[in-house]
Amino acid sequence: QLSQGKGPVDIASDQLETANNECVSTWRGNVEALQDNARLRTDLLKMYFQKGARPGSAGGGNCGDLIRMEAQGAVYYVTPQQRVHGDNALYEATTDTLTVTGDVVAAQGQNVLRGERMVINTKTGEGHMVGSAQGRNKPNRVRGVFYPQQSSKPQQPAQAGQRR
Amino acid sequence: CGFAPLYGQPGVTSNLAAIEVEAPQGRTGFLMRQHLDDAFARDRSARAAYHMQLALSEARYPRGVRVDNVATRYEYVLTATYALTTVPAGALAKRGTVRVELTYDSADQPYASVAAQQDAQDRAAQEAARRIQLELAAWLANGAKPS
Amino acid sequence: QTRIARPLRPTTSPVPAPVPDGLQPGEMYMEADQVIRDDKNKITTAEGSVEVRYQGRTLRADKVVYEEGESDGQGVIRALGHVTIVNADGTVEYADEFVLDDKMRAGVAQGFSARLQENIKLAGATAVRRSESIQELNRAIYTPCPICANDHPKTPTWSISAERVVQDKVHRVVYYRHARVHVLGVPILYLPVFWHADPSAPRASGLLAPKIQASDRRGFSYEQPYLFVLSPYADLILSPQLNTKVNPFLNGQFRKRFYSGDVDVRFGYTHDKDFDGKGQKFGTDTNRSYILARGGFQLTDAWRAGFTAEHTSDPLLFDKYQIGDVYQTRGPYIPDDRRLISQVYAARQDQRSYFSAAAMTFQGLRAGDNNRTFPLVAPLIEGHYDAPEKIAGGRLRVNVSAVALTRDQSPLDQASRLPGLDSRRVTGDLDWRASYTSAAGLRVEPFVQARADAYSVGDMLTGVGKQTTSKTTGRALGVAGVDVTYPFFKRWHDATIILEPVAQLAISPKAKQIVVGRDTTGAPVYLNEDSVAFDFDETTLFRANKFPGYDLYEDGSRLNVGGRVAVLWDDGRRANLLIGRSYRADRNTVFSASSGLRPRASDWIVAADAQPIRGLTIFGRARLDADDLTVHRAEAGANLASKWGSGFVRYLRDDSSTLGPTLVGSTVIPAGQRVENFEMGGDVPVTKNWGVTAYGNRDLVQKAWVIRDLGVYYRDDCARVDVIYRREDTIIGRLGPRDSIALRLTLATLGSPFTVR
Repeated sequence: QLSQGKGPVDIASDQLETANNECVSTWRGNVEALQDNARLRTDLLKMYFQKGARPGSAGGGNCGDLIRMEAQGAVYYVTPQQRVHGDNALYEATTDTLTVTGDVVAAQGQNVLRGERMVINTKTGEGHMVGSAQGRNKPNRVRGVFYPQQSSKPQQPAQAGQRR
Repeated sequence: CGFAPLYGQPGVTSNLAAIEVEAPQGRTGFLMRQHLDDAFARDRSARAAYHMQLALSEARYPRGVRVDNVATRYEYVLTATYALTTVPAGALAKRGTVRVELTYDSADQPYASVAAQQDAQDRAAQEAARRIQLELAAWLANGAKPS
Repeated sequence: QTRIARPLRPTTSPVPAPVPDGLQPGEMYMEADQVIRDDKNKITTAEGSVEVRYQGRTLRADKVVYEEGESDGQGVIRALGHVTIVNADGTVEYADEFVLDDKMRAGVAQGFSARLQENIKLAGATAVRRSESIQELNRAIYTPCPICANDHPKTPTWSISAERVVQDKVHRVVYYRHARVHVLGVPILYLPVFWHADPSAPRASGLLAPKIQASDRRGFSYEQPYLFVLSPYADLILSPQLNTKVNPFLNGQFRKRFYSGDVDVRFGYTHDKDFDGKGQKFGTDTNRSYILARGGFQLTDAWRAGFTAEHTSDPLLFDKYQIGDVYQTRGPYIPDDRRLISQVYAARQDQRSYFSAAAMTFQGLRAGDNNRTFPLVAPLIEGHYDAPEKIAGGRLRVNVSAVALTRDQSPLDQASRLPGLDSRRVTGDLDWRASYTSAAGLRVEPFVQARADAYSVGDMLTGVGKQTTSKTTGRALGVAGVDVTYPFFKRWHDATIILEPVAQLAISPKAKQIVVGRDTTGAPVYLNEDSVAFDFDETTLFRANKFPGYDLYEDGSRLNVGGRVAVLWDDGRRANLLIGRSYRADRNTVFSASSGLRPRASDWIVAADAQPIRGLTIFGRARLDADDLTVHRAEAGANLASKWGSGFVRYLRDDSSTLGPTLVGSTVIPAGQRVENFEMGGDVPVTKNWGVTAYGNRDLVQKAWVIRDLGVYYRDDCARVDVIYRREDTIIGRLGPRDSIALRLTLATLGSPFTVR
């Protein structure tokens, strides 16, 4: 469940390995998962399904629904409202939360937010970003730049340039 | 008993005569430059080895105030702060401050009092020049260490 | 004392102004421990030491909620918990809760306090920021004083609390409604409306601190100065003084600075009868006024010119209306005590020459002064020129001098109003000096001076009624001599000791003095306008012509000898001693009998000064009788400047003051009276904040204190309160002795002191 929409999740990658007995499928190389208008891109995606559940869900065998997805390496989560980039991401199906970690950059129109960890509720679109340290002037706190002059209408996602 | 002639020391009179004084603005400043030239025995034909700049401050206080609130004497205080720099390098060689305090009588006739006040300026400038000269002569005799 | 509605915890250390942080215009930077963004409702919430920086302003708070509005300027920023806003100009605002628009401008704050520049705190229950420049506080308190000492609140030394305080940054004024001034927590003044210039304002028109006085001469007196800033270079202060016993008096001061100089004109006016020490009026109702003006201009690098204009309608005006700072140095020529001078002068100066021309008149304010006996001095010329080359191995100076004195009435026998002596003099002299120092350190300085005077004296009394004659004469004067000095020096610990024997031999032909009459004994009376105030002391001992002016000239053969000791410590302390006297071939009656220079062996001159410890200088000088060494004249004094306190002491004794007869009350003190006087003043800080000041001036001949002051002061880093008791036992014309108590209150940032007499 990557987006508010209910549509099917379409995943493509260079290689696919499935290990039916552990109900784990591993997509490797330019993995892209698409659902309605939300897209998740990563280098490596591991999907974990319920064991011994109803047949016929994606990935075959007697694995049930998706429990968890782990994305590692150059993770991009792009929705019409925002683009989030991080080193890794973990999607919990039960709570519909996608947790992106590792130098997370979330851009919304021109507004950009950086931190260490961001929890996104994929159903409501609410993002909750946290830094690795607390207190003023500590490194790696959540930092963001906003442009109050322009109202933040959803815009074409700008080039995801890294604001170093 | 250890005393030596001050002007006998090498370099004292020659260096004093090579101090070129820049007169500060005002009558006291001009008189001060004249008295310093005399005290240093300034030899204007010789090339200047030092340049002296001065900052003067004058103050006058009424003294000996009588029952009719009139002062019978005036205390005139001249403070001269000098800076000696080498020529042509311009490095600071010596700095100092000299304070001269003298008094003069107040007179009944106002012009006599103006003349006394002008004369007090001249006498204070002369005494301040003498003290600066003595200080620099001793400094030169003791090896002219920058201070 | 109004409690601030909500306890505040303002930090004491001033928050550093934000440094240019590289933000592009329009960009808002936010930093926090965590940020929650709710896209659906477009709310961004930042929590944990949040710092927002936008358009040079910094906002810090525990939590910030930023609701992006539909369109530009609709957004609202709500900051909660220990909110601090640092404005671009360094002023800081604190609050518990702040609501601002998304440009961080207009908004409402609860529990608001602002730290303006110069560390001033403005705290209020609620603050409404109308616009960027108007800020309104309700139930507010204004104080520059520290409001908490090592982290627990303390009552500020003084503060102004008010129902409403409006700080208008455009007009740079702070307004108060229902203001109460508190000193040490005690409300001392209530003002329905009160305003003063915003402390950050460089120069703004407005009220200056009032002077409140109470005396038995004018009753209760309130003077309220108002400053009009006319332009960046000119301002005008009008200061009406309202008195209960006498009519109001208007004081004023106009100041203007030009490209090459400035003008400063003080004036005052009233229309009233005269009044005496007890405030009883008498005399006619007339205009009374004064003017104290000066102006000085640097016309070119060399030329300087200017004027002073000092005049008052009646001599006791300044004392009756207690106008301060009257006898000041306003021009190159300074008059005597309690006398005014109006002068015009021009002077040209460069490294090698000095020339000045001036004209002046005097107004005497002393009891018994008669302005008709004071001369108009016009012109007074002085010129000095140093010849550039050496002449005969020495330096040559050319000096010129000229003066013309015209007097209406003679100071002698004023009752019969005799015509006043007029005199005109022109002088030119050449001054040559050379200097030779032997290898052994003996310095010999021959000198020669040649001078020519031309005099024209008019209205000379012949002694027969009002008959006068005139006289034109000239004279040639000269002196040749030599200065010899042979200083020896020695290092001693960290000081240099110098012993210096000094001698001066001077020989002059008989000088023709200008005789203007005969006294009762038939002895000649010499013209003496500028050599009256003469002292034989350590500064005139080694002058060839000891007289201060031109009219009298020292002639004959004389030998001035003396010995000097000087100790120069390396750390700058000094000690000097001089002992000397003057020998002459034959008696010289041109010197006055009391000068100590008439006999062939003069009185002894002793003078010493020293700085035993840093900050303390002591000095003493005396003229001792030639035969029995009795003290003819003595002066001693000390100046102390140290952290335990500062002060000075002066003792003066003179067998014969040159001051003429004076009228004190109804008694006339004859001329040549003995003068003996003791004076001391001091400021002793007793504790960090409290201190005592004292001043005393005692006339030892009359065995009476002339002036006595005793003061106590409280001082901290934002206020100083002085309470001074002054007793003046002086008799100035009709104004007899006077007691007064002055309370002077100086409040930081509110300008000059409130003086309450």
